[in-house]
Amino acid sequence: MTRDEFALAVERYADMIFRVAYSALRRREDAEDVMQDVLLKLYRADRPFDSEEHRKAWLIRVAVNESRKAARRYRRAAPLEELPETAAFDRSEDRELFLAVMALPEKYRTAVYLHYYEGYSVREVAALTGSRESTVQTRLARARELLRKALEEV
Amino acid sequence: MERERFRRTFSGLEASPQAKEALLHMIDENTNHTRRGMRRAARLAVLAAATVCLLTATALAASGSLRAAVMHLLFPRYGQGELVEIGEGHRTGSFDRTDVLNTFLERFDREGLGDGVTVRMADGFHKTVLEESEDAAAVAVETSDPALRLEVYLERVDYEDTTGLWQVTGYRIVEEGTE
Repeated sequence: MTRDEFALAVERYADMIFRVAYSALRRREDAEDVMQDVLLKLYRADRPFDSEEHRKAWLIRVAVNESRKAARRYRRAAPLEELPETAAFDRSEDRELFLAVMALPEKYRTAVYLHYYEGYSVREVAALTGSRESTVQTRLARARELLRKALEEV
Repeated sequence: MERERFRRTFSGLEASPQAKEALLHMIDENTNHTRRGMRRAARLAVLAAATVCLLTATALAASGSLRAAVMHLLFPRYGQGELVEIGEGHRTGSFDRTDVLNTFLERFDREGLGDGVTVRMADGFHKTVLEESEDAAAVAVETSDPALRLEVYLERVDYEDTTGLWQVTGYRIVEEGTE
């Protein structure tokens, strides 16, 4: 991979990887570390991909794995009240949704992010996270229920 | 849930420009000063070696059909049943580095390198470890054509309470004299 190709990959995927890691870790510094690790893996791997979608899926899988490792390594998460400073919100309802998602248990957050933001199907989320489809379905259903309650209370 | 609202909410979550720029600096500085110091540098050395290797200019490596045929072997997904067995301790030795490499080579050989070239010799595979660390390795494998060798790259993936599962993350067919 050339420097230019790497720079393009950073531009295209850094934020996506950061969001995957942030969904798991809830701390900017740790998520940026994971983002850097994952993109360096891409650079060092210098491997072929069938398509851009294939590369994206590979990066998400590595991001999920690296986030799990980081979660074991750091064992810490930012307090919920600090989280809004991480992202810019145009509307208060977006801030509420962000806080509600981040208040979910970690195992729900990644599935919710991949399904609702990245648009992956349940089957694809299962493949990306190394989970069973039924597990992902359950997590999404439970997450929806928790989010509905949380947003009703706001 | 409104997907559009979700997208709007999370689109404001971005990595800092500094973190992105730092990545390019690492590359520009030949990544000798990455965040995790020597361990990272050692792993990089494995893959830097790969970077300078050129894919063979022969029709062998250029063959799209070969690459397509082999691609599915490179990133095996562990079956749920296998994972359960591993988790329960019934598959000791499965997915260790040697097991994964040999499985890959067996399959690679079956797919055929073309022109009668094989990686299995009469007495098995001729492997040389080029670089290794606790969770990455590069191995060179001789082929029946002395001018060609196969280089295989492996990484260890953490999995529950096991010592990890190794997987092949890439390969190169290298023509002697092209490096």
